Amino acid sequence: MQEAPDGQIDQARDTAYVRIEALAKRYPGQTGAAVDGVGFTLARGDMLALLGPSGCGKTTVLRMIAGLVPADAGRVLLAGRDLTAVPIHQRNIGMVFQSYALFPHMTVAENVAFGLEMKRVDRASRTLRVRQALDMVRLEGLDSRPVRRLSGGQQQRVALARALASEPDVLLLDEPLSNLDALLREEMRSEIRTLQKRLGMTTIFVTHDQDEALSMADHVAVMHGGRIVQFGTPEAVYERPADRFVAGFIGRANLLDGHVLGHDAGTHVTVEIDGIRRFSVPLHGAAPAPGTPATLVLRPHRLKLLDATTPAGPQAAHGTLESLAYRGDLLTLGVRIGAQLLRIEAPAGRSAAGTVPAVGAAVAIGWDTDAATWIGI
Amino acid sequence: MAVVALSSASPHNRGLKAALLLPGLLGLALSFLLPLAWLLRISFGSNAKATDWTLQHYASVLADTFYWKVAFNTFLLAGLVAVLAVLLSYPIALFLARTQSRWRGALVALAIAPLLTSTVVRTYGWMVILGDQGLVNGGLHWLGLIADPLPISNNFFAAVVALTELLMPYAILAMLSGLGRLHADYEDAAALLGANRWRVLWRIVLPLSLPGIATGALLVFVLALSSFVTPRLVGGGRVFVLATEIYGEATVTLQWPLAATLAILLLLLFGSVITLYQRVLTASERRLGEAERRMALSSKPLHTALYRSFIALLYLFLLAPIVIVFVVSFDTRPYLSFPPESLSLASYRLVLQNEAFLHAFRISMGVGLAAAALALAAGTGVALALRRPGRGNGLLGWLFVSPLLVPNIVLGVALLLVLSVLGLLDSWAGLVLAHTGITLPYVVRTVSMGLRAVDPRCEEAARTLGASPATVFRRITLPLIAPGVVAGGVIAFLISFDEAVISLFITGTRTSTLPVEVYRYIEYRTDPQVAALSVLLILVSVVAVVVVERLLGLRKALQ
Repeated sequence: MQEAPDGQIDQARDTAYVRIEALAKRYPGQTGAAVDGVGFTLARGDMLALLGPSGCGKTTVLRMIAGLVPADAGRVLLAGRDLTAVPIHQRNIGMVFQSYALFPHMTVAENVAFGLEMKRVDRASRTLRVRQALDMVRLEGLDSRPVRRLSGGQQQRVALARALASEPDVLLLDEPLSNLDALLREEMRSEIRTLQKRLGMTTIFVTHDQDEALSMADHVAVMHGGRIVQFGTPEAVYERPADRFVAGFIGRANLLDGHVLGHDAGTHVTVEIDGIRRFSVPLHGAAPAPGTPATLVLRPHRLKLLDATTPAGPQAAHGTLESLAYRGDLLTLGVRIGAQLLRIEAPAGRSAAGTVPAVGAAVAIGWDTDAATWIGI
Repeated sequence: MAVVALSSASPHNRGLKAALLLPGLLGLALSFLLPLAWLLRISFGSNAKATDWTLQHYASVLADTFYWKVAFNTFLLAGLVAVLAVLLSYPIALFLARTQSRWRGALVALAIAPLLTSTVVRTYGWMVILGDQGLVNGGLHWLGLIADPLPISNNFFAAVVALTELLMPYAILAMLSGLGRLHADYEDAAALLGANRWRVLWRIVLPLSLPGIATGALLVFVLALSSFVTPRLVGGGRVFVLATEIYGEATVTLQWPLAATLAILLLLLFGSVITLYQRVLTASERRLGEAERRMALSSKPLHTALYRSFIALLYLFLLAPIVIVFVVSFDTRPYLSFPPESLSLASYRLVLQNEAFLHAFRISMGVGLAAAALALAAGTGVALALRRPGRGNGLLGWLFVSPLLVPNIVLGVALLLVLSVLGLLDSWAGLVLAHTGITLPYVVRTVSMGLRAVDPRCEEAARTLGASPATVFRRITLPLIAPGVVAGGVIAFLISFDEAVISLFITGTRTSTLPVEVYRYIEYRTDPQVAALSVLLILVSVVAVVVVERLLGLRKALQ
């Protein structure tokens, strides 16, 4: 978790532009807390993805930042301003709802103008800024259309334009792409990302889609059971997952249990996985004592099928092909080595054709030296 | 400390909720809870002043074989009517559920629109149809098929026929919503498994529509159980049911404690039938499970000409009293007879010159508007309050619809007793109070329905865009529920405008409403003047129906 550096206030304002402190929420009649001590900081202009399975508390965090859900404990600070006791309508926050929540009795332009009207922007500049906002999301010429007669993609753009028109301090997006079909979702992903970077708009969005989080955000906060279990760059949460949950939730992973054998020169730790062999993994932090239980993460695409005659060694092992699925761009193979079932993803296509063994055949698999990541237990 | 969220239960919000509830609660207490409590009290007193406690009325009623006969009669009438109404309504409901005609909307409206015309008017229509010189007897005589009129008026038979037609729209409504659940896939699956059309109907459609049929049957049964105007008028004073007895004791013999006792007993019967039914329904729902809850429109039209003619006949029966009233209103003779000899607007001219009718019309309009306005103001507040989260919402919601579960004949006696103590009998205030009470549940329901359709996210979005709670209500919530509020107002006006039973108990000559005036008129006469007046009443209803249909969809509003 990032901490704001002690130092000059101006600097703090930019690096800790959004500062969330120990937010907690328990809904009446529910066992356990929905949100249990969530805190993070976000620099101005950055985009953060709150990522997690449904029920992990990510939407509640977002709604507490907006003020839509009163927090039981904790604080929300924006540009040094404590928002915790500020009513929703005075927070200057832009929000795009999962259902878009466009006002059904208003036209596109009236929807976009609503926030400006609330800020008492005069009519002339209102019209101008509505036009600008609609141009920005490429919806020119739809001003007087009733929102009921828009496609899903158009509604999503109107919602975005409405949230951005009044120039909020921070933009919140609640599962913004979940109601769009797959193709449109890809398109909107890059569009929102481009727009966010161009405007330098500090943005927090909630998603359960790891692809979305990894491809759009500067930082990802992985949430589980009301807590942030890992906060880092997309690369960090994917390559160096903090625990089993993160490893399993983000991307596909083989989780192998074993124990620590020892370490070499303080940079690598050697882990023995029962039935397979030893892996040498880069070490982060203090070296564990030999004998400590450990879990390794091996991404399926970092494993490859080798010629069955390859001798077993530090980077290869023998097993049996147990399952095989063709997925167009990929082949997914299940290889059993002793008690472990390893999932392998290999690119499908002409080059792979003819080399794929039959189910039940003896195979050899190999990996690169840096393929495995150690996640402790 | 500012209010942080719409939903937070801060003291400020609780105060607001209480303030929103207060007018509604007051209205409910004065027009419903207090009268019912007083009714119960009076039934245990030897006089209408409640100075002592006694069980003598219950004892004498239960010991008297006459009342047992009346009760049997009441159940027989209600049972026959329920069976007939279900038999005649099911084909219509089935037809409406699956027709692909572009007239479907109009046909649905036509089937249930009679609900929004006055009971008195439709009952009058049946008197014209079944009377000694009416449509049936007059027609048969004219054809030379009979010499003397058939005994089809002023008796039990007439009451059964008229009540069946009057209550059919309720059965159609209930069954339609039941049939809406039928998934066309079930029928396709059965057909693919080799069932022919009749077997599909018998083995698949009918069993799956049983809950709808049961609801329709119950609704008709309880409404028939407590019906008053129709058995009284069509029965010509020769059909004795609990409701007519209650009215007689309350207004003719003036034995108020006895009337109160009978009303309480009727209420108990009413309540036990509904409770019993709820038990049965929950059990059968549990058995059918969730699968049937998927809403889907069955799309298997039954295309035979025979079937269509049958449906047309049923529609004819359903609309007969309204159509007949319309035809008779142009008759020239001063007495009721069929077919009309020549056509004129003479009856309309007479109506418009009839000072009693005009006075009653003004009363009805005034009371309707006042009651609708009061019910709207109080009911909208209640609906808004019930939308805010809170512990007592379930109970409050139930409380505000509970007047719908009490027959008007019971409420009528109860209000008579209370208003007489308050000195408000035959007064504007008393009438408006009573009508506000009976229309309040409809307004609460209609506005609540409108509020349910409002996406709370829209209100939240407005908050994040800088709108204060008051602005959100004015700019977002209110415009979105406006159709529901207007529809609620129109329905409230119409219910008040058409209400006859309660008004009969609490009005005298000064404040008698139009339906009451019509009732008292046709108790003794059936001349075409009333037909003309009825047409005018129907026209008021039609205007209201069109307004509601435009704003809300009639079927949704009445359910």
